[in-house]
Amino acid sequence: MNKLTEKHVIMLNEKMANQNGDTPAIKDGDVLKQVIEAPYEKDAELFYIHKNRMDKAAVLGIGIAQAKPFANNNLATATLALFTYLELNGKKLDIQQEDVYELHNLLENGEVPQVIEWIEAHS
Amino acid sequence: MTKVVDNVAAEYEKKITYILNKQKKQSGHGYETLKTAIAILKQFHGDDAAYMESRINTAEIIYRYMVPEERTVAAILLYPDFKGGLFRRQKAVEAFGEEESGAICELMYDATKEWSDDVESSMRAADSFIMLCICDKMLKQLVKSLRKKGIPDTTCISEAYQMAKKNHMGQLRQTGEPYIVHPLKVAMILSEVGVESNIIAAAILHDVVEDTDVTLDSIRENFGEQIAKYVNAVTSVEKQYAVSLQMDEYASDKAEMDFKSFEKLVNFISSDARMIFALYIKAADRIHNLRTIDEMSSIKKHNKTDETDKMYLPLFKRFKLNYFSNIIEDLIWRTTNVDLYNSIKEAYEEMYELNAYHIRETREYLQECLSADFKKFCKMMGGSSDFDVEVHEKNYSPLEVFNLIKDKAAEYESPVKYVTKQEMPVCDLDIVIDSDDENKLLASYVALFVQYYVNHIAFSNRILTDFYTDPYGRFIIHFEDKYRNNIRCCFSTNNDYITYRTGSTKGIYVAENDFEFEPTNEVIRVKLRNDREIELPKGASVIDVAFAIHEDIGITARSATINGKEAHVYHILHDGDKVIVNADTVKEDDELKQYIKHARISWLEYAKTPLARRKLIKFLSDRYEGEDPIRETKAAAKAVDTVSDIMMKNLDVNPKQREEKI
Repeated sequence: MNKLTEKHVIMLNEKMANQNGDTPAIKDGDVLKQVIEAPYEKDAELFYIHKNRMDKAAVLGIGIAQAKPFANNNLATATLALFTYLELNGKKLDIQQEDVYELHNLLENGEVPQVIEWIEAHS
Repeated sequence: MTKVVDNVAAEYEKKITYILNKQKKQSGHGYETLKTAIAILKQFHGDDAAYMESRINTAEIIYRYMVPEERTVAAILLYPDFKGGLFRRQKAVEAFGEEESGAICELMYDATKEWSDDVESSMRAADSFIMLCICDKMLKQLVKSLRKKGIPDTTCISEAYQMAKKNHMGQLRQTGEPYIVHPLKVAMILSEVGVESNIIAAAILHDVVEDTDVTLDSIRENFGEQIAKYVNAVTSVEKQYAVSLQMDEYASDKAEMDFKSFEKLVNFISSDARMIFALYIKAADRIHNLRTIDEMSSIKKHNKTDETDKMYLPLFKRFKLNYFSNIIEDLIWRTTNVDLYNSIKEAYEEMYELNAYHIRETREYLQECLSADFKKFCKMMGGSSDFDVEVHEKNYSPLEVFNLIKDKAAEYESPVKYVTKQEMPVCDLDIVIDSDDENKLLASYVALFVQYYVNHIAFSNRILTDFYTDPYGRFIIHFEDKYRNNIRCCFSTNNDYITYRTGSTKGIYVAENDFEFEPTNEVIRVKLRNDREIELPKGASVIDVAFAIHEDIGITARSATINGKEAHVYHILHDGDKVIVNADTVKEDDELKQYIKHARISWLEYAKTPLARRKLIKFLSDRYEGEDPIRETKAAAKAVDTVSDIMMKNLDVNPKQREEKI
């Protein structure tokens, strides 16, 4: 299981900032840490709450998109992180540019099950 | 004349109050038995002040050196009268009561076995009785110290002691003490190194075959093959050899027989690697002999040291019994240079005592720095911080002190002049680094330590030498602490330290266990539902049975019915049990299937068979997905980099409307 660490997500944000001509900056470091750790939360019996890679990807994406830990490009970073995470863990996605905008909407306003549904529909 | 008697009486009265006070302090409640015993003694021998004094003196000596039981002292005071017929059992019952008098009479009976009409021998018997009491005390101390070191099974030691005590009864050493003191002291020397209890038992028995009528067969019968083998290895051939020779030839062939014994020991070691522990016993035996060598005649003394120096010491060194060979070297040097030895010892002890407090402070400070700050420093310098450090303090023996200063002292000067903290190190600080990382060389830690020391600790301290290695493979630096004490720092890895201290590469406990390979053939058989029988190792639980039937049943097992009774899955099975595993099953409902998988991490403690463990671990690792520790490696970062690049090339992940910039 490949994990996206804080360092990796910051790197992704920097990439998006370079592409768009912004200065990369972190708005809230604590929030970022929480968001990164959220997919790996455990229950009282120490089992992972989010069992598979799709759950984890969805939690990560929604976390970044809605908590906005960076100064800018939060939604783009969230999308890129979600895609990268799934790709790294061997989940191939079959998507067009239009689907990306659909995902943006879900990440910003939706909830975890909806995002999982979207991933399942496009894999 | 009466005045003298009065003085003596006054003196022993003082001593009586002393021992009574001591007893009261000890027991915390009273001294009834002791008081009664003294009263009876006064009643019999009140006129004979000299006799009273001698008896009270004995009691006082006992109280000074040990913590005796009250009834033991009472027995010591009264046993000559018991033997002489003045003090009868009937009287004892009247004085002490039923219970107490029984115990006391038994002790007195033991004491008077050696009694004879000859005054001198009876006095000796009295002395040995006291010594035997002290020996019992020593055994208790030995057992206590072994328990502290994690050797709880000491029954064979106590049995060996009883056997040796019984058979050495009446024999005396050249120093005048009972013979049993010697094997006990040997056992105590061995216990300092930390060996298994059967070796210590063999050490207690090591002279029994040589000096008494006990045969090897009886030892084998009582204590087993292994201990008998150890005893045989260290028993000299003298006894067997003397029979075949005439008695006058016996003396001239002493040297040859010593050599034969030596040969026998070497043969034993070469035939069986376990016999290296016989060498430990021999070494400890030699140490105690050399420590008490002053009582021997000068010829015997010379023979003994010569033999040890030329035959045994090279052998001990060859087998790396460093701890023993250092002590033996020191003791041999002592026999030839008694005056120098004593003066150096005195001077060194004085110097050490003056600086002991400073050394302790430095050691504690160093331990603190090394276990916390130094690790951070290592990590900062690019090394690993995955190691433990322990700092031990070690004093020098007089020979070591002499070796350190002999180059400085000119021929006509006394070397004692140089036993100062400016001229030589005060003591060794052994810094033991215990690291799992085998590839990491000790030298790199030492180099880091020097840097760390110069940068972080050495405000007022300075390093005196570059680091060098000694014959034991340790890295050594001399440094000066803030009190201007010269200290020698010896770096070694944990294994090397154990080798340096004891001579075994893996530590003695491990080495001994390695040889004792016993296949576990304890198997239980249990019956299943369809009367099928399966074999399981002893201590197996229901979990093992469930996994043996099928993987799915193992994972979903909820409970079991054993011989018609409901039981938990953790239940340990016995031979002949009938086991029915109750497992949950759900058909065609994927959601519910999640809830019937009962396997937990705690099951691993109860799963004994490799099959069950393997399947359980496989299931748990699937369930505990992503349990691996986070690896922030460069490779992972590169993977994220390239994958995200490809993603960005194929798709535009930016939203249609740009976010508001903050």
